[in-house]
Amino acid sequence: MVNFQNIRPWIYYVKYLLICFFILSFQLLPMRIVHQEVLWPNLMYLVTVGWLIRKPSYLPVILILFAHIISDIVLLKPLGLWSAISLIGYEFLRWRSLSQGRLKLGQELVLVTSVLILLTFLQIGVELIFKIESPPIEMILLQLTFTLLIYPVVIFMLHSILRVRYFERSETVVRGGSMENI
Amino acid sequence: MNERKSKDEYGRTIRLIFIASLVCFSLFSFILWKIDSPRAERVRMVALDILMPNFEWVLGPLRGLSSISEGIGSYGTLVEENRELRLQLQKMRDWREAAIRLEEENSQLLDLNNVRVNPSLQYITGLVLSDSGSSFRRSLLLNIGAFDGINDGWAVVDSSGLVGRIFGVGKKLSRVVLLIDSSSRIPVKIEPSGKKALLVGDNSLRPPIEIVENIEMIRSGDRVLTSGDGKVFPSDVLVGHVIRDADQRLRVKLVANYGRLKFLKVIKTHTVDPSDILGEVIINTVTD
Repeated sequence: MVNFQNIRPWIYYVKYLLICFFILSFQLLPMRIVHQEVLWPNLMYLVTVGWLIRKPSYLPVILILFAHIISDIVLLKPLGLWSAISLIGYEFLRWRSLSQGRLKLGQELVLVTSVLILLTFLQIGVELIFKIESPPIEMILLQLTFTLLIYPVVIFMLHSILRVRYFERSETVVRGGSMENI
Repeated sequence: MNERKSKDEYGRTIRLIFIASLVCFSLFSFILWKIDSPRAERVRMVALDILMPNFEWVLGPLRGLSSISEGIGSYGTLVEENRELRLQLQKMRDWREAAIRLEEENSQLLDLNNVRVNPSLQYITGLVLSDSGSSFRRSLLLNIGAFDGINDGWAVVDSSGLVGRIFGVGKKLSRVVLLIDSSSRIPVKIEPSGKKALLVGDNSLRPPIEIVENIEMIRSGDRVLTSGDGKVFPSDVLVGHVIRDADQRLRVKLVANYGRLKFLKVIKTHTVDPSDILGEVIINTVTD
């Protein structure tokens, strides 16, 4: 019994790393140079956010940072910028979901949308300050829209395939005491 | 109960500090990257050297699948393609005769004039491992690197024309920045007028060219070749043909097949160290 309780978070950690790994691999496939009008949605953000809203205590911040730094390295982006910015957003969402609990689908969409828009503009701001060439604004907006449109699909995948669902009452009681050690 | 609450509070503060330090860590790495970009990119290449083999076991099968689907798709257009190819072959035969005749004539003339031809260019061929994964940065990773003698700045071509240049070399892989990347600037010349221009990447498949003067001398369909200015690139590598877009702006239709970049050749160029030239000049003046 005790063993089972200990091993359960680890299953989630491994699942998260695997899904991030697959997302990166798909993005790396060298076949999209011609199809430039199709922009990749920010899948890693969606998965992380969906996860944090459903199972905030099963995704340590260090794991998120690890996956995002790897993605920055592999996708040849400015090192660490998006990781730092998105981490703030993630921790806000984790705090929100730990303190206020379950959301309706509409509320969740609005929340995720507004956080993503804020983070994106924060990133553009930093890029402007540091004079980093940022892509044209239409492209960013297009990607943003695309990302938000695909969010329900990501939720569905999380729920049905990865079995990342809203925590039940009993779970919170069991895990309630040990939240600070994540 | 009270004790429990204060313990919670304590834990929360620790957690907050922990998160803040992680954010600072990322920001710190970002600032390092910004300040010393070349070194950070070298670190990135080292990390990629280590990381990429781990992606290989997913990338391999996926690559296979995509090539299968491509193969199936190509069956549909097989008949049409065949007809077109036969037509082209017919035309090519005529051209071949003409080319052979010209080649003979050319070599005879060169011989007459005692012209020294450029030492033949050497290639190293590599396989495309992955692309940059974002639509904003147009670059690729090749599976050849410092071990194979690749150097920064060398030109990369596919079977028909220029694709980009090497930017970042790891031990076993190297990064290619494509012509269409918005950071790419390539000095080119336009034949037959011989005008010098700059090919400026703007994320589109038809990058514009910037010309200083005499735009009227340039026609659609003119050939665009690398000019070799700046001594980094070899000269006379075919890039594409001039076209005009709806705004009458000059753009280049690239000859490299960007839809199917698989095997790429890296042209070995003997980069000239400026100090070497200077030394030679000094020696020459002394001996004179």
